[in-house]
Amino acid sequence: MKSRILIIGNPNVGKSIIFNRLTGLYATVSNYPGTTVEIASGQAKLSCGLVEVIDTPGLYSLQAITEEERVARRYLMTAPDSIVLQVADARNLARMLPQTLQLLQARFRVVLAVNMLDEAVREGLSLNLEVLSHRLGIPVIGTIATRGEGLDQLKEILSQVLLGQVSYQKTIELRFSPEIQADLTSIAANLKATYPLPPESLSTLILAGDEEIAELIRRKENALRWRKIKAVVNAADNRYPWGAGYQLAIEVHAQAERILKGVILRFESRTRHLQNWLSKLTTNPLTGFPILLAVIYFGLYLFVGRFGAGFVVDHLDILFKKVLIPASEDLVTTIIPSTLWQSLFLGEYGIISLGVRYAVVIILPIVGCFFFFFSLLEDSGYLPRLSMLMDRTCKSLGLNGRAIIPLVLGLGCDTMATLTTRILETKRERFIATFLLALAVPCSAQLGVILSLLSPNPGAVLIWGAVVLFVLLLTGHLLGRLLPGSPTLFYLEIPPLRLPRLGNIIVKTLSRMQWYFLEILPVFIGVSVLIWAGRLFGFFQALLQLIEPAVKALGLPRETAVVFLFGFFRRDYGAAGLYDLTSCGALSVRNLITAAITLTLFLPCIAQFAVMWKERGPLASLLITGVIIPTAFAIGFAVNMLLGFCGL
Amino acid sequence: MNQFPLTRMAPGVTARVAGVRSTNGAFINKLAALGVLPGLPITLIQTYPAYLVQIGQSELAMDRETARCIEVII
Repeated sequence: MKSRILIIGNPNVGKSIIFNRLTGLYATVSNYPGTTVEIASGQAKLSCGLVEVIDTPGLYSLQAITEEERVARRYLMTAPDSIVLQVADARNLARMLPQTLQLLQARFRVVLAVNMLDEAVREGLSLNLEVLSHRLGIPVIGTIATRGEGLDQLKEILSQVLLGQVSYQKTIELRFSPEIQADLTSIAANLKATYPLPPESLSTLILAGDEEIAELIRRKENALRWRKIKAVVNAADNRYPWGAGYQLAIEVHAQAERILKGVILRFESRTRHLQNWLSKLTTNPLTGFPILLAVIYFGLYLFVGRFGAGFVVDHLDILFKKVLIPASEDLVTTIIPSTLWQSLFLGEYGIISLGVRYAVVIILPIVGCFFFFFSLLEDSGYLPRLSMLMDRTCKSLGLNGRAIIPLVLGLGCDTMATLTTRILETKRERFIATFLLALAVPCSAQLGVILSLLSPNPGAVLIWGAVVLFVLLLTGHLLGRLLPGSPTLFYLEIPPLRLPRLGNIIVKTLSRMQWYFLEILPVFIGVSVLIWAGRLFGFFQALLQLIEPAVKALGLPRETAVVFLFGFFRRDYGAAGLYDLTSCGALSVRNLITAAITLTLFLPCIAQFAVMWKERGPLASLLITGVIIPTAFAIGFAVNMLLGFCGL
Repeated sequence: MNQFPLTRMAPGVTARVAGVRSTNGAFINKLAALGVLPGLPITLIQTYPAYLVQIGQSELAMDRETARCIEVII
């Protein structure tokens, strides 16, 4: 049996939780649309055996607009014999059923999981899923995925479908008005090539104005047939006051409402006053902006900056220096007699004394704190509210409110954030967001180290923050002006505020920390080895001499050149080097501010560069890097001069 | 019957969706998938810093340009 189970559904309906429950794996789950930007796959143990399960990014209908939606749809199109597990929000079935109908039209074997039954009950809804199952002609299971309710039944049904024990002979058909039906028939009559979807699905999608499908058909059919198809679509578009796409949506929705008649019973709705009141506070501008500032102050500054980068790092460092380094010294000196090889592990830039120490002691606690904070924001449903509050600001950067998600995530890890730019609609927006992430969004490790370095001088923190923010806004503004196109329209569903579950937050934080740690540890160790070898053969010094003039121009002591060299490998690695230099008192406040600003703006780390290359292509990546290096030094130079004028 | 864009509605008022006016098919479809469909009651909650409306069980935030495309009937 080679069938797979594809999990499909609107954003934010619980696909990833169901995936986790089925496979026991961990996919990032949150109360924000767009957390799954990639496909996650795992194995589910069903009574019929092990089956591959695939979790996809949210998809609103079968039409795809953003890159992440295209990812989901392409997957659907390449796996026509898969079983589709559609997950739907029980509170909004009327909005979810059109997708079910479209999936059935595309002849998938669909199992519908009506999730979040508990929330529907709390809103005074009662659902008769047996009637729904009968009307659709497919298995329908009610679930409360967060508590695991209904999952056993779901597994059993999936197993039966896989074994071919469920009949899909009497599934419901999409029905349109005679005019639309005639259009669909004449489009389908002109589809002669072979496609991954049946002709009725394709004609519906093309009539709805789907560009990707239109492009596919235009390439595959001859010019005459394409012209005929185009003529039908244009005529239909002119026939309806709001266009053919909207008319289709209206008709599908009307059919969904007919199916749901008698399925949903509404009791007197018990409104949840406290939750509604809190929700209003976060979106109302008078209270929303102060709450936003408080979230940044308490979450980022106090929790990540002061607690993570200050308290935890200091204590871990003491532990490391007092216990672990001496212990490993004993171990290494007994095992390895040669002092040359000993220095690989314990020297000034050794694997243990530098690589492992930076990764474990300085970077990991900071990043861990940030991911904990970000997970809280995600699961509470605060992020979409943040998007809404920041939409106007983002517009001035040539972006829209949606972009706040990658930008804030960048404060945690710019590499992860660059991947998340997929939730943005246009190439232009993805480019701007990637550029800003690479230039002016410090990652949490860098942020933490810099904040703890500068925090003895609140003024220094202020200057650093103001300059970086200024560069961010100015660059965004310029990019928004210079690049062709305009910001795309902003619209986003605001999910209800939910009380985050501590278990979910912890698991999510740990899984992100694991991802991060596995990514950085090899790089840190690799850099240690590289520097060790470089010093041995002299090219390290040669490289340093190359950077030294630039560093001197910034008025910095020559030791700082090393820090910038580190910065090539990882931004945080560079910042961590700054931490060491300051502890031995080599830098003045003016030096520190200049170095911190230049380093913040400086090159993205190797991992981020690699993701940038993969997502945006070589040209964009090289262009971005080529602009960033001189910009970082120029701003650093100007700041150093200005600070000098002010007599610092 | 009085039909006009959402931007001309006062906060706190409930109307019904008439349609979405735009030349961008993908945009119209997305709004339709989010539940902006003719006949459904739509309540304007606030207009600054972004428009916030309630349609059915869900809340939808949007910028002014999007709100201008949504026509309502009172």
